[in-house]
Amino acid sequence: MNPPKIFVRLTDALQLLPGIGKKSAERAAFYLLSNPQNGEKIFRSIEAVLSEISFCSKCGNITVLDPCPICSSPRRDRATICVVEKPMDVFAIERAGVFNGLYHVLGGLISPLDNKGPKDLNIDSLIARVGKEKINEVIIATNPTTEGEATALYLREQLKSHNVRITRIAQGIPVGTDLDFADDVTLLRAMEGRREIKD
Amino acid sequence: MYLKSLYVKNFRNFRAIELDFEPGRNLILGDNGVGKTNLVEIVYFLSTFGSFRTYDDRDLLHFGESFFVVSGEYGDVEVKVRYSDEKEVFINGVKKRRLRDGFGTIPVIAFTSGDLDIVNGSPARRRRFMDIGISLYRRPYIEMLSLYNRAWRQRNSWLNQVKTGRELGAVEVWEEQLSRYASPIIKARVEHVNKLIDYAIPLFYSLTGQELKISYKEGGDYSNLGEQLRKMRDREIERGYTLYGPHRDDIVFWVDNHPAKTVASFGTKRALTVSLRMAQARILTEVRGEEPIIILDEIIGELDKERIGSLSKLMSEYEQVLIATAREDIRWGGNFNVYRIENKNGAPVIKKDN
Repeated sequence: MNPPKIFVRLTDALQLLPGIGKKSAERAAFYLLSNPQNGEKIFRSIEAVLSEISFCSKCGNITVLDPCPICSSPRRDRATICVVEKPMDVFAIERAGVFNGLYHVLGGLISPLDNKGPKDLNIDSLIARVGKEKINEVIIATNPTTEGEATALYLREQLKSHNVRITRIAQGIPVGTDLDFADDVTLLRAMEGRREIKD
Repeated sequence: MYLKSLYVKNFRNFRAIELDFEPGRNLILGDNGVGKTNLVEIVYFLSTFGSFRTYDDRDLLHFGESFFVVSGEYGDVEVKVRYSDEKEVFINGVKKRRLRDGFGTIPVIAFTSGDLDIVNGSPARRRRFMDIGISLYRRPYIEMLSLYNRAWRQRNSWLNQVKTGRELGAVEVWEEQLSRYASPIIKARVEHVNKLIDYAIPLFYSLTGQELKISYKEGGDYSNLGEQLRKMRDREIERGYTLYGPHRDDIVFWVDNHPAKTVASFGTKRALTVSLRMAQARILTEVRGEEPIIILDEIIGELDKERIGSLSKLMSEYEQVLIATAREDIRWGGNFNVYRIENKNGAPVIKKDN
């Protein structure tokens, strides 16, 4: 006997999630069936998120209000944009409280292996912002991976003709660790990016 | 420094062994098939986290087992590798985030019968010979190779998509990265080959009386690789992959002005691979300031008395030499520690001569 059709429909739907295969989908579906209270909770959360959260029309971050609280805040430095790969990067920087400018979320990185080119990212909207708003500096804060670096190179080329300072976040030794534990390329980058100690 | 001890669980035909080694020359004797090569393979594995006989780590599992552990004490450093589905490396008990962060902690140069592929095999085999040789004394090189390979795969993927009608855009960013990572790779390779030339040519002459030449064949126009990739883009789209760069480099060996691959005899090729390995051992000593452990697997049985004599003289430079062979008569002057591997009821037993 085959499982009921609506059950199969659920496992098929769960498999649309990244990283979920057939077995995990079946396990999750059985879990939802045998724990209906949690199933209900998950169902309500998904419903709420889908109806209430959208992408900010200015920066591309996820938000309930559009524009998002950061884009509409009068207390932020509106002349600096920090470019990141994904919404979670914004929240990481915000948690640290180390930046008071605006953000721009690309929604991914350039990666042909994942079928992603510049047109699949929020790059045109970034260029438009830099042209329209009074931006002095664009900080490129993509990850120090091959794809993050490729995306940074592309942004540099696109922004070159605008009258704006383009910077890249520093790479090097994590704070509070021992040099002895750093891998060699991190040490190399740290050496390349060294700074003078100022008074 | 030398390898003081070895601990093995579920590796090839060894279910569980613990073994102490001493500096100097260690002879591992045994009939064919008892596991002499497996034993020295473990020492090599502790250095490079790979085998010199297989690319598939599953081949190294004891029959029917799902994991193996090997560890060795080298000076006051303990290197441990655990394999079950994935490899994990521990240096003094601390797990390394990535394998390459522990690569070459124990410096080992192995002379194996498979070395003939350096001469006879494909260019990929010769690049591997260089890449491992360099990585043993310059770890960031492994990182550069890995970054280069990633950018290379991304550009190939771009080329393929264009071929099937989808233009993703931004191909320049991969070309810029390819040429950025290529330059330290090529620099390190050319340096390595120049040192090989310095050391291997006189060694080869002393073994054979023949003249060796080694030349480096560049896989791209390294005065401006980025420009070459831009120019060749259309042709590469047709082929679907990147045709120029360090992934196409090669080394060519010439003996008395003839290409060794096609013309040299078996004995000459063997003398060539011995000279190359010997040269790598010297480069390692020179750059790291630390002598590698030398492994001689079987090849000694292929050499004639005179060459065994010259080889033994060369070997006396090294603090620890491990020799796996079925021939007891290869012992040359001086002291040897002798380990005998025997098969008892289907399991190998190792005994040390007093």
